[in-house]
Amino acid sequence: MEFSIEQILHSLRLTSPLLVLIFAAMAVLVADVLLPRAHRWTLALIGMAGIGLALVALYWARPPQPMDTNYLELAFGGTIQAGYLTFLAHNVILATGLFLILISPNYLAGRAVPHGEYYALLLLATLAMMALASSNELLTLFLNIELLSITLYILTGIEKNNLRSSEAGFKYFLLGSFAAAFLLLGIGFVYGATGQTRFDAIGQAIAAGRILNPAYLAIGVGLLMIGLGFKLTLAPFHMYAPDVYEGAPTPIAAAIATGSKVGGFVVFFNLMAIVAGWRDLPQGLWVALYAIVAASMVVGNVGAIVQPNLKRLLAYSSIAHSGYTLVPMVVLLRRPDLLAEARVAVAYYLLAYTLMTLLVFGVATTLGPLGEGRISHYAGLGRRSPALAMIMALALVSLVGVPPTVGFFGKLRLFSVAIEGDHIRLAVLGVLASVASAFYYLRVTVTMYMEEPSPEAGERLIPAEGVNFVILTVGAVGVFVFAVFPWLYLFAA
Amino acid sequence: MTYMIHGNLILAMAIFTIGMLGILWKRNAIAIFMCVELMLNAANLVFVTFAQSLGQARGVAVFLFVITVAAAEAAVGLALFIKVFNDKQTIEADRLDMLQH
Repeated sequence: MEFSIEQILHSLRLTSPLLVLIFAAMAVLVADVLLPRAHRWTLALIGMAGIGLALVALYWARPPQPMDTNYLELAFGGTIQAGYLTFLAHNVILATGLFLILISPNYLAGRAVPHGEYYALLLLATLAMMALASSNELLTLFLNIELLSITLYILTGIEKNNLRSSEAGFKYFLLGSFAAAFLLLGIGFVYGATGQTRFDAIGQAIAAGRILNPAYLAIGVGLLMIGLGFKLTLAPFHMYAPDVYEGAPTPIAAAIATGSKVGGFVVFFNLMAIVAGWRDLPQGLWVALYAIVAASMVVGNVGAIVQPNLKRLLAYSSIAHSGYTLVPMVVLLRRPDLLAEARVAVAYYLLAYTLMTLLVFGVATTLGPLGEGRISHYAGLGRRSPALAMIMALALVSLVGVPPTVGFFGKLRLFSVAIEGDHIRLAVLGVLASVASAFYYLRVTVTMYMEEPSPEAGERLIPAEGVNFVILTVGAVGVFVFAVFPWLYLFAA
Repeated sequence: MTYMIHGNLILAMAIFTIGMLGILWKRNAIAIFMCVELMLNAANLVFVTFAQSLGQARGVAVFLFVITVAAAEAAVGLALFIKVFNDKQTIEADRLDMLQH
């Protein structure tokens, strides 16, 4: 493989947002050493500047206008790709990173968390999520998943003198590395079956029928589904999620639930788009993915009903939403001709899911120790902090999928792909699951507005703090804006 | 040649399964992590086998990357184990049950 100067410059331009984030993370670490007595906002501001520059770089290297949903460019010998879905996912991930850095300083005040390491690792995790969405090669995919996982293990267990944080980090590490082994074995078999590691080369080999051993390819794809299934908390690989979400610092739980999944969804979509080109795709793979998606929707919604803790409830809710997001990918295996519709539907739901989930986590973070505990602690929040309660209620209603919110239009797009692709039963199951989810989402709302506060929580009014309140309000407005004007985000219908 | 590929793959699958069963049975975090390493190395064996049969260097390069990543992962994992041990005086996975209660 030869590289000309032009190719290298082109590659650097396409990956410039990632490079900016590496330097931002280093800058935070250096600033932490040089300014030992810095104000708690100083390092956060450096991190925000880094994310801002990465956004500028992202738009500098943006796809040509008007945007084509099939747009695809490769960098660094085809290991990194820039496409329509990747570009939109990068927007969502950078916004998530900015949101998390903004809500962190108030949350970290008074907690035994080393600030320099926290912000540097958060930036590196953001970088890894973006790089994961850009992966166009199996080894790159593995390295990015590991970079993301390792930074998140540390962030989960970062809080000193907090046994829950340590235990969550410990469990996340053991199960995460277990899953990585499955992913790696799957990569090995796909490589052995096609002799290729680049997604586009594998796709061509599969489409042209140049498969050395179909059995190896089927085993490899199955193992990849398991390995990525852990990352995306799909049932039955979701067992660790509730414990990790509960124990991790709330902003980190939000990062695990949103950004890391966004990266995973994009790469899973790209893989399924390749596999869909396989003319004699084994029935078993489609059945397996169908079963995983159906199980995720059922397990997530049933599990959430009995959870007394808000973060555990959100973990089960995120399992269910992973199931919804994968519906178009199941359809894709049977109807590869729906690729463009499925891509737009998934892209839109990435934004919808991230926005709603971040709002709920954002309110929990703003409430501090109170927000991390049992749902009963939210009793009377409607009177004690009307603004926060309203934002939370809005996000929960959107998670149920009530019009006119992003949650409704997101699910509408996902399930219309299923109906168009003759997967009506899956769409019906999804709608029924959404209806059932109203029970536990609205239970939180009822607790906030109808129940008397417990004596320990008291009647004290909770002031909506400046920065947190502003970004939560912006997010809440986004729930309606992106629902009514989807082209603001999709750049296309 | 085909015989050797299959032999190697069967060996790799056997090691992978031993690692997987070990994770299900063992309770000590260090032992569990050793089993994970066993699984990763079984996957490495698969890469090297296919690289050999395809006559490519790519599979062997993957193996080098995986070893490096596994080392980084081990460093983070052991740090987390020490943190848990300092707090709870144990790293038996089933004796950590603060969450959910």
